[in-house]
Amino acid sequence: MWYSDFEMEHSLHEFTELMTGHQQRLYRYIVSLVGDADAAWDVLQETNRVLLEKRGEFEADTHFVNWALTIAQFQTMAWLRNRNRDRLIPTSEIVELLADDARRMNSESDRKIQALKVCLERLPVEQKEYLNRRYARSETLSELAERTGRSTNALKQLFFRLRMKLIECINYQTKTE
Amino acid sequence: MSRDESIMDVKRVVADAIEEARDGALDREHLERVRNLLLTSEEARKYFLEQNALSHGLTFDVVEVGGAEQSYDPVATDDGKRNSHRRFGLMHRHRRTLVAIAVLLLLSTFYLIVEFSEKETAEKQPVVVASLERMSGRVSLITRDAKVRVVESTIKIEPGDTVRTQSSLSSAVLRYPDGTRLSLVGRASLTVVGRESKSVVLHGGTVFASVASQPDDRPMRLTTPRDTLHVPGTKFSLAASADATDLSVLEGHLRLTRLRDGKSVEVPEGQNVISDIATELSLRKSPGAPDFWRADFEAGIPTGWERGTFVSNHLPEGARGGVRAQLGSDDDGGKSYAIVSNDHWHRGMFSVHRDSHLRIVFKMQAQRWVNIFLITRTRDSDSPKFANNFLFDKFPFHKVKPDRWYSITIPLSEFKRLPGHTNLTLAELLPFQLVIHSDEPDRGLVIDRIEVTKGGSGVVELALVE
Repeated sequence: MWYSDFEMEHSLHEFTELMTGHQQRLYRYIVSLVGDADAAWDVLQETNRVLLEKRGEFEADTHFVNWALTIAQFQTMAWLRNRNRDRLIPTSEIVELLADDARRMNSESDRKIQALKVCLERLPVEQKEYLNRRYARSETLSELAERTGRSTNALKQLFFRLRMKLIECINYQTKTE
Repeated sequence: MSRDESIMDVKRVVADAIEEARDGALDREHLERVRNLLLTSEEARKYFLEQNALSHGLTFDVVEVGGAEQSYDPVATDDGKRNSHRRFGLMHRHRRTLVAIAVLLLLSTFYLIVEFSEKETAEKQPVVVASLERMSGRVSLITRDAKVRVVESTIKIEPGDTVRTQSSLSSAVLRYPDGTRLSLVGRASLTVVGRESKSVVLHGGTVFASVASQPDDRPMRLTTPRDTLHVPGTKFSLAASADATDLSVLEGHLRLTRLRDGKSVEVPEGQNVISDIATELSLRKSPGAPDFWRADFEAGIPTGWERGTFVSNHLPEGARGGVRAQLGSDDDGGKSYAIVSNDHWHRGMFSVHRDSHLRIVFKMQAQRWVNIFLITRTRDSDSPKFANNFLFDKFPFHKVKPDRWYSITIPLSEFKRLPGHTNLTLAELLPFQLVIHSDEPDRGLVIDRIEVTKGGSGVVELALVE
């Protein structure tokens, strides 16, 4: 059933609650497509604007997340089309190819985050600290190289191995849950 | 390079790009390389998504990574700097949450006071970039929302659609409004990805392309598993697989860039280039169909071989491999035992001359019939079409003793044209596939080698192999 006027069934307040409740999921979806936290933030803002604009089109008895993720995908593509010369990795064409898998992965994201926490606990302290520096504290490879005396290539190799290890652990954890 | 090593290379290229992009240090060359990989490799896309999700988890969802404040810190040489990074990290996350809520509140307020009298009709018009025409044989379309349907008449193609021609006799033409044509032949799979400029991914198979002149800054882009072609307005033919790209330019020129290392070559009219793991990128005159052809199965079943099981026992002396007839589905839906070669749509399997002969070394389990077919295409190089099947049905099976090795030599002039699309002779066409059918109860047809040669007696000869 389609509503030409969303307010017939849902108040703006309820719609905003839906949106607020799914901000993290939308953000995760967008960042998985663009791979850049700041870009994902810009796209999320634009997606929120369009969601509110188009709330009259929301099919009330269907899944809000699916609808919102579709809009997020198109906003991501539109955003990338306008910034095609940027140094971001994906283009709008690539996002089209990524979108369905990203959506599938997004539906498992809560479980994977829980698994990540478990996996991180199992890492040696030194490795955890490298991840902390790099990701939680946003240190660049050059900064880390300067502080540790390791080359940036060695650090790339280290993070490649650590991330592979984490992915394997997460997959194992989520499969055996 | 093994498949595992190749996947690991793909992951490493993507991982390095993600790390460099995170620091704003990704250079243009590496960026193009990883984009091409993401367009062509499912492994790369899966890894990219997985890594982005992991980065996000490490950055935002897992706030405290292992209690670093109390732990041994191998990288801290400056406490003040470390703490400032930590503060930045927490503020960074906190700021985002606050701003998200603020934006939502602002937007909500805005929409409460704005009248919705000018609602968009928001009709979703499909974006059509091309049409798929002139289907022949089995052709299917996989839409971007993963729905699969068989295509029998002209349809509109949207970005994200994948076209598959599904047998060696299948073909279809992708036509753009500016007259650009991509003819898919045999078993081929192609995804249309470009919306504003022409861009396609050829996952595998053969394409004959006639690309109309494109804007200088937006050449058509065609990506194969190994390479990217930038096509300004060119006629060319291309056979692509995970192992190699074989490109011949018929008119105009284009640029081929190898994904593995970013090396490029400009390919002018009349030239051919092969991009594979073993050879350097170098130009040569586009070869035509060879006069000779052979398959000896010594190193296994050739890549792309359609039907047949590898055997390594009970072969003629000195031979290390052969092929046994295998049960499978035929194009007419029936089942039969057969040996079917790989298809050579791109430039033909061999040229047929007045003195061309086919020689097969074989053994059988029982005296059962064997039919040999040559599948042919027209000789034109820019848009060849399936022509006719030619049949040799006088195989002297009644003279064959079970489990003995024989050699049979057949002049190609003994093959009869079956009704089809042309009235041309075999010599006027190009065979692109060889099919050897055996009678269903005989599961014992084994072939040690197949050769096409020039010169011979001009008559069918059967001889025991000592």
